[in-house]
Amino acid sequence: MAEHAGPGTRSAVVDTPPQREVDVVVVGAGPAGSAAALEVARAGHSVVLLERGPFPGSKNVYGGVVYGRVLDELVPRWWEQMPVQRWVTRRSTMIMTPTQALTVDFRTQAWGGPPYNGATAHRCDLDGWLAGLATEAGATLVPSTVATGLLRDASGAVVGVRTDRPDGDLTAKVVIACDGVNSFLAKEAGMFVGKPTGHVTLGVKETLRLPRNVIDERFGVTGQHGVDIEILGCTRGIPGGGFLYTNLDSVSVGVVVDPHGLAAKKVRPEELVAELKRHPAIEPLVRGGELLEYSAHLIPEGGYDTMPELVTDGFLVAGDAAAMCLAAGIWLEGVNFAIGAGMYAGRAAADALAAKDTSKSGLASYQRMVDESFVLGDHRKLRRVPGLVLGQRMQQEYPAVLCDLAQGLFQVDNPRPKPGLLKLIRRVLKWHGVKTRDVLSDALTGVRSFG
Amino acid sequence: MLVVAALTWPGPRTVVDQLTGSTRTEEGRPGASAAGLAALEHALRIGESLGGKVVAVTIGPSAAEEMLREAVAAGAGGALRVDADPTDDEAVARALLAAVAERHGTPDVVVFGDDSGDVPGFLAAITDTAQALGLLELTVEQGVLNGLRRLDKGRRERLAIPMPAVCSVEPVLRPRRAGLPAMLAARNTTIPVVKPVVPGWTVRAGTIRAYRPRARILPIPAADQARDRIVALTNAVSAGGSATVVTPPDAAAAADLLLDYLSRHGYLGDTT
Ligand SMILES: Cc1cc2nc3c(=O)[nH]c(=O)nc-3n(C[C@H](O)[C@H](O)[C@H](O)COP(=O)(O)OP(=O)(O)OC[C@H]3O[C@@H](n4cnc5c(N)ncnc54)[C@H](O)[C@@H]3O)c2cc1C
Repeated sequence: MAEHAGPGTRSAVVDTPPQREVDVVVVGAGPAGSAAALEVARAGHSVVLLERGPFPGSKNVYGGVVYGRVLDELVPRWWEQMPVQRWVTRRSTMIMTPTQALTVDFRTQAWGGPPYNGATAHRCDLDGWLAGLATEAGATLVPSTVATGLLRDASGAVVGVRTDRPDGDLTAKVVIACDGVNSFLAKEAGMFVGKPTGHVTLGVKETLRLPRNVIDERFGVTGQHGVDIEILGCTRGIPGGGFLYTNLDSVSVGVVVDPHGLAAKKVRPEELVAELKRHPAIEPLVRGGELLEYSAHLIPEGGYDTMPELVTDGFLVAGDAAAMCLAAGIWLEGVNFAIGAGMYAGRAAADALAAKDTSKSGLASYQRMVDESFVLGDHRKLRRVPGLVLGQRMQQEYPAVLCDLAQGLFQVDNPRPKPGLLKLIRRVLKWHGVKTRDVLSDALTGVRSFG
Repeated sequence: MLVVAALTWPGPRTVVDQLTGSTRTEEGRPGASAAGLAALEHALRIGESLGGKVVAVTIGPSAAEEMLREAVAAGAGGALRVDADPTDDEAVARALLAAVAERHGTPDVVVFGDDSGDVPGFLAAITDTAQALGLLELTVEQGVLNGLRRLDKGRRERLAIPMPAVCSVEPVLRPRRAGLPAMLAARNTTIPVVKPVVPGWTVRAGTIRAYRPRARILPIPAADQARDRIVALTNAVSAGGSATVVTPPDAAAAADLLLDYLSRHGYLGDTT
């Protein structure tokens, strides 16, 4: 089995000090880490939140839509405080070939008022806000500090972290690893042993500045309403997809692709973004946008079957560090899963501290809470979807089939009469060499996975 | 001995779109600049060598306290946030000086990053102290401040800097990394805030009004064609033109000539 990427560090073994310096160390001030630190601090325990960037959000990348309802449990009337760019009231799924695009466009005014649905937000604002809630509750945020490894006692239990600062060891009763995708700490703790490797995709994104009124006109929205477009078929057949989101006075456009596919086809990710921006269905929407930012980040898209162990003695893993991002085709949700998991990890740590048992069994309520909630519930339900959506037919053949079907249906070829739908379907499937059997089998998998 | 590290808080900046020329305001990234961090490191080293107290100071909003806490963690003996909204570099210098004087007394050395505009120059002028700006090196040798500065053609200049002094440094020195215990301790440090009463400005500007020359009524020139009447009125095509070459001996004489010309032609009617 291939090794999980990362440093081959071994944890430092320390004499267990009689008194730990803090109750909990949370590594990573992303959404998972801040939610965890918030819960621990609210329960009255001491908690240090370590962040390698100079401020929360400085290192973080995402497409731009966050689903805030998970915050109901943490921040009453969160929508009045959360730093939002636009509330998503239009959600489109676009299927494209280089010259065609078929869009299912859904709009509802219900998502434009409390308690809302999705919102676009900038990560430095969002992460700063969440970390601010944690520090207001009493957490100590230490920026510009990298956790470089774990401290363990002679029995192997995690008893703290080592950081890159002088005198940088920090002992704690519980360490919560919220250090994002490719978590070195979770690997070092042995949580990924026996789990499949290589399940990451690469997300690349451009933020383009456009005047607010131009965005309103082009995307057909007003006020603080915004649009989320998810795109299939824009990655030259490399497993993945694209997205286009509206901020207040900028748009985010990008792709999420399988890095192995990129390497095999010798394509650079920015070429795919450039191609997407030139597509006839996208170009009028982003025309004249001034490039403000280009960013890239890995996404753990393998889903349920690639998740690590979540609990061991003195140690919990949450968020992307535990591969909890839901990247299932038409869904790309990671922030809400990270907040949910972080919140439960923080609660479990607080309960364990109260019960004076921070061993694996003392912390086991975390596993139970994520199991019973949407965090693992959705992942379990949708565990087959990543394979389906990133499979060859969905990536290469179905977009063209669907676009050609739409074209055949709406094209008027008089004096020829209109073709019957079944005949048209058969003809298009034949053109693209797709077997009816495969379509039915994929449809069945889809129904089973989504159903 | 009081050594001050003056850190610039990156306020909003104007960004110009290179294609369209349109401008917009963008918030600066929070935190000290590389030059500011180098200034802090120099100040800490000077403080260690001369046995003085080092105070990190910035003018900025409460968000700037984060940067000051990191300076305290790195070894500064104190920090000060100046709550002021100065409009120009001289006012910045005066606000800094007033705030430091209120809390800690008169500084012996003030070190800025070289991204501080004209503030160090103004500070040196206001306090009548030595200034050594844009330094590559700033060290203490046998109790004396020494600076190294770039000159043209790759040459260098060594300076012995008398104290009190105002210096600014290039971002060539990497700041030391604060230890974790110091970082943790600094998180709970309350940063004192001073709202200085800044002494009056040296130059007072009045309100700006658009210049409106007084209307003058001229007799209508005797000519049949409108074009000829305009030519006569404007003197546009007269042989000698309207240029007058003057060679005043100094700036004051030049100003007198200009004022004289303007009032002769009725442009300064409002002010006479
Ligand atoms: C291109 C792209 C588009 C996406 N689009 C969306 C979207 O539209 N909606 C959505 O909900 N999700 C989206 N996601 C997924 C989402 O970004 C993640 O799922 C989410 O950020 C996970 O949160 P987290 O707190 O677990 O990890 P992160 O947000 O990655 O935070 C981890 C934090 O830990 C810090 N850190 C890491 N290692 C260390 C260390 N050793 N020491 C100290 N600090 C450390 C990092 O600096 C970072 O701040 C997208 C992701 C990408 C890449």
